[in-house]
Amino acid sequence: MWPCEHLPKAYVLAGALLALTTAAHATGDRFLLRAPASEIAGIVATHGLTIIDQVDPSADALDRLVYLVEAASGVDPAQVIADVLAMEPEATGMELATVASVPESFVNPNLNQGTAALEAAMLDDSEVVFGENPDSSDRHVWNGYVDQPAAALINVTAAHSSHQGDATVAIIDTGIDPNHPLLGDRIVAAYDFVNEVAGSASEWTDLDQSSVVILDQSSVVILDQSSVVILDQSSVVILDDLQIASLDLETLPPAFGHGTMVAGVVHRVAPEAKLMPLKAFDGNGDADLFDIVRAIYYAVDNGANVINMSFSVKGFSPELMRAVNYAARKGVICVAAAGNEGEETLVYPAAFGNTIGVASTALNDLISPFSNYGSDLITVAAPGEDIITTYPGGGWAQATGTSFSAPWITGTVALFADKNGTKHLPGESDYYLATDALSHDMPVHGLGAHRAGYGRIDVDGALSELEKD
Amino acid sequence: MTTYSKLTPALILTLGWLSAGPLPASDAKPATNDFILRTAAGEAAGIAARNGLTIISQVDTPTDPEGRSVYLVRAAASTPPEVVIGDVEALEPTAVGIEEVFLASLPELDQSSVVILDTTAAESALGAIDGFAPPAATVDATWNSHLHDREIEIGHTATLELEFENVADTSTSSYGVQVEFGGGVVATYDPSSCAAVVEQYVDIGGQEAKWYVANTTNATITLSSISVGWPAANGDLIEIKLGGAKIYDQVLPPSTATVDSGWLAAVDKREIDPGQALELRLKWQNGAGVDAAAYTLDVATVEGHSAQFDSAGGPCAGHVDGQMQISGSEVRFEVTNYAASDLAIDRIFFTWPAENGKLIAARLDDKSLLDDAYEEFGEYPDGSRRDIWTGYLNQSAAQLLEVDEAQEDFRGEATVAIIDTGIDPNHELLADVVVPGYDFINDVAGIPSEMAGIDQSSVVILDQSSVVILDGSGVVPLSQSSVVILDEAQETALDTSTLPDGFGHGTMVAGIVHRVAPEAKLMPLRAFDGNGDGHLYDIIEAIYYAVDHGANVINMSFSMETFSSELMRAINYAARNGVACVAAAGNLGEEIQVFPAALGNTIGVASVDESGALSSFSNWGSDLVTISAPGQSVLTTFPGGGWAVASGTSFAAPWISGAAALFADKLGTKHAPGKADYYLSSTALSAAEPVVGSGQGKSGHGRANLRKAIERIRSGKYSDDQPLGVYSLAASFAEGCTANYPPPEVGSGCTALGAGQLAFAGKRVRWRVTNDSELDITLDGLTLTWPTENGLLKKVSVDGQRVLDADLPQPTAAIISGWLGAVDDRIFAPHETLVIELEFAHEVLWTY
Repeated sequence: MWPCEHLPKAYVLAGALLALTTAAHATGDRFLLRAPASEIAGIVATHGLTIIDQVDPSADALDRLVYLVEAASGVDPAQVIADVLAMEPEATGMELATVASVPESFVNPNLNQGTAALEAAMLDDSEVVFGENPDSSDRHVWNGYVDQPAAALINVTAAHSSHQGDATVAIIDTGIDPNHPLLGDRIVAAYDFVNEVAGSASEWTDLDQSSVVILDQSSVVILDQSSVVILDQSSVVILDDLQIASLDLETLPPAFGHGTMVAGVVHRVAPEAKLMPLKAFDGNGDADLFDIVRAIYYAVDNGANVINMSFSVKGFSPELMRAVNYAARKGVICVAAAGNEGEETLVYPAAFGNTIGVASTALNDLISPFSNYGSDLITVAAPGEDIITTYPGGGWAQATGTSFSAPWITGTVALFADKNGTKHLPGESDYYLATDALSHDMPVHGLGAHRAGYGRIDVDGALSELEKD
Repeated sequence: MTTYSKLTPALILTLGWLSAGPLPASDAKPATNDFILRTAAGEAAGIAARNGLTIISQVDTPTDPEGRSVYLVRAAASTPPEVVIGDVEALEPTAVGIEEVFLASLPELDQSSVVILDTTAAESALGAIDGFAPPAATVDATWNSHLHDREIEIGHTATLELEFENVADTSTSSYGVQVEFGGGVVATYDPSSCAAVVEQYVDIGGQEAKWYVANTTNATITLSSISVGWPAANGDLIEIKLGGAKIYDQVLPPSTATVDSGWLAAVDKREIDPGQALELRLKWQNGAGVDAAAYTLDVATVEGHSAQFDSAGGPCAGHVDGQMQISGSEVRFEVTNYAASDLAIDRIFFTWPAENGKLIAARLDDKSLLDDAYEEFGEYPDGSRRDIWTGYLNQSAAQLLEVDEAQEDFRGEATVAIIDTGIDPNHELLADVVVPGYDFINDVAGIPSEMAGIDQSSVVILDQSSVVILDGSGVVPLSQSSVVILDEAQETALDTSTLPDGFGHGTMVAGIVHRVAPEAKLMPLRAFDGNGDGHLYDIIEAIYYAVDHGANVINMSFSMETFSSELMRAINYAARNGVACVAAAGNLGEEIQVFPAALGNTIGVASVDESGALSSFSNWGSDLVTISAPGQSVLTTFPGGGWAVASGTSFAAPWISGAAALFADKLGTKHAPGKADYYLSSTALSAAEPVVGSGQGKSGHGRANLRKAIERIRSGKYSDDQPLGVYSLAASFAEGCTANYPPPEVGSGCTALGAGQLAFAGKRVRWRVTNDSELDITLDGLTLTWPTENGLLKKVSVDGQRVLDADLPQPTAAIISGWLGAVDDRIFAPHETLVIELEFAHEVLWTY
């Protein structure tokens, strides 16, 4: 009998297949198959597979010849893989096409948050100037977002005296609200891998139209007559009375807003950063590993300096590793959430040695009870409880989870790229520069030394560390 | 399940626990049903008990403060691995992870390895020349790359020895020797010439000028006349001495004279013995003019010889002695430098009679003139070590990588851990640098010797106290990838079939590290047995051990196709402690992922051949390979004190491990001196050459060039050192303060503080200036002095913003106007520290 809270993490042989079959398509299992273009047709024909997609048809590089293929229903996936690899010398890799999840989409009692932080912030409805428009007009933004405790704790504002993060940040997530007054004009090179749409990666596609109408607004929510509404265990949203009355919360997909909330944290740290929304996750918070791999290659090829990955996969994936290695050797820094199982475990891509794995801490620098930890996994920690951030429709939300710790670091890395011009430097030294700078951090409590990597981020301190180079 | 008649390399499933189908040898299973279990502290015993597991061992954790509860546990042979794993993961919340143990393999012993044995390189290294056939031979830089370093110092005589196949003809006139030196000096063996020689070098001081007059014949010569010309200002010539004895004392007026009679004393005072050189000292009334060219001197002898002083050189500046010695099959000449300076040898040309047969050896002062012939022993370029087989020293791999040039300043004083089959600690080349390690197979601390584990008779055959004499040596295949060089007696006696396949692997790897980093300490960590199998658990223990015991680099000439998260954790541990991990890419010739090379923080090394093209057996692909190095026919050390020639990516990786040791030697990261780490090494190695052939663009940075890598480090961000030369900087601010370098500060009103140290990178010098006041201050003037070698000052930036763009001539500039950009760019906020960066035309010289 498996205890509830262990079910999501039981990624053993049986578990993985179980998860896959429950999410499986009507036909068979899917795989990522790496083979030359000249051979793929023959291989799939021999083994009863169908080609569904290709990672990057435009790439002439052998590195990129990875296909999404599907087997017939009922075929044992382990056997298919064994057969292909045994019989086809030209097939250099094959793995189950697994599903990644945003960490907050799992039931986790430790994530439960109350509304207190957001209500406290709402006591102050003033606006402050923050982040100029490209046309140089000032923006006036709710002070509750700008002056939130997490930002003050990690010295974000002090860092802005010199740099605002003029770099490009790719966010592999559920998308970003393209109309959001704060984020909309920062969006570049969007791509929706779920719906195969270039130039757009909007969260609205996961929502039914009536909900879209209710939530979407053209101006910032007036906080008078607004209340906080708990959406799920990890997010609380400010809605006005009319919205509360008309919106059927049950119809909101569990992961709706995740990408916009993540983007808002990046923006708080790096107001000048361009945001590249890469929608690989659907409203349920699930993504095909295939789409994530594609998104990573896309981000690197389209000028990202940093990639935020607020998700994790339990099992090692060679294709994911290869994509992250590609980013690293092109000087693109990968930042990933540590996951919310509250264990000293490994999840990917955070565990890779060339990815910055981010744990979550509370405002008193205590490791969050839900945060994974361990020095093999964590590079650095950042606040991940009651983070105040943007929400689709122009409003605001409060979010909890390692997904919202990672973007503090992503934004910091964007500041590095701006300050040091690392976007102009080739190669892996960028990761070195970033982690070197990040080493100037505050101790995390509640764990033995080194279990939260360098400790809790101090953005201004890290930026100063970079200066010394 | 369908069976197939041919088991092609069955690439392991990438999800390790979904194992099904035949495994390649590289990822075979150990004989026992082993797992690596990671638990919360204190939980292991309970977990083992509940799941029918036996704890075999725990990974040692001397310094890791968080504790490392990682165990080797064993299940009953009959329990399927997926059941063991499934149960533990489902039922044990305190189990952090559990994985199956696989065996890693030495790539050359992987049954799928496609390395092909090649004995020709070994044979040619042994005897690139089978001797020169008569009647002539020329020795130049082709035959001895260090020939030009073979100088003959002024006034010195070097012995030139030739050895022939047969007994040497005793007729001296049938031999010819001509030595060409730099500066156009030529010494020719010619018994009839230069019998008497006046050395070019004249020692002038006070009232005297002194020449040495040499007798190069084998009979006594007697001076019969001396003709001298001298500057008139010298006044009268008043005295002539030879060898300290006065031979003439009549006064001769300027400015020429010939003395051929009226000699003082006995005739024997004018004699010079065979092979002797005596000082001829002339003394004048006034001081002797110092211009050598103003003098002429001719001497003649009773025997009919003559010699001239020729300040410009003359035909006898270099001289091959007319007396040659012949003994058995050897012939000896003497070459004397009579010039005014040391002479470097460009070429030597020999002729000899056909009866002598081949010229098989040539030596100058006992040092061989022929790199690749028998009994070739050389030394490191800095002379720090001699008696090293030049086949090993001068091998094409070392030249391709420019190893000697990279060693110019760094000798690799760092510690390199080698996880392999052990080492031969008594090998003469390695004995001084082997430090204690650990044998993880037998669980014993100390130095794991490769000699343990092979039968004693083989040990006796191989073991020698000195470097193998290569005369009459041949090559003997040892495995599909290596040949060992043995002399005839050894060849006869040694039954190589009794040697395990993996025997010598660790020593061969170590020899390559040593070639690059001669001062590196080598820490042998034995995790591989004679068959070339390495238990994953032992490898993991070895990695932790290496990090915890001070290694700067870990060489891993092995691979696995199965991903292991415990292996990744161990590598991550090494990486975050600044230890560079270097791994072989594997020998399946494919674009696949093998571990640990494929991990993003491990330097994966592919193999190239002598021309820098990707080896056909080498795995490749930019996701796997960081850099490539020669891995074909590499000459290296072998247990017993001898040598071997080996091919495979196992032998490409250690070139890079040695390079990482060079990087760690002097220039560690600025925060952790002495650490090689992945990023430092990878960045340095990015200064590489293209790999030609199918691997182009798919072999990481390309083919390593260690000279360029070292230069890249020098000029890059990683130097803590100060730029060489005199800099003085003064930054003045509109509000009335200044900052100076070097300190101390001078100023009033506002306070600006300049850093007491500069930093540099490439052509740029950086100076940090702090506004130590409570008001904004605006930089409005810079006065600078810099070393002439930097060239023009081209740009000035403040905090990355360019504020000046002009070619200012060295060595001083005073900048008070012409600022670019907004004034804001030059404002220092209260307590702000900004970097003022100067960019010059040339690379900044540096010091260490």
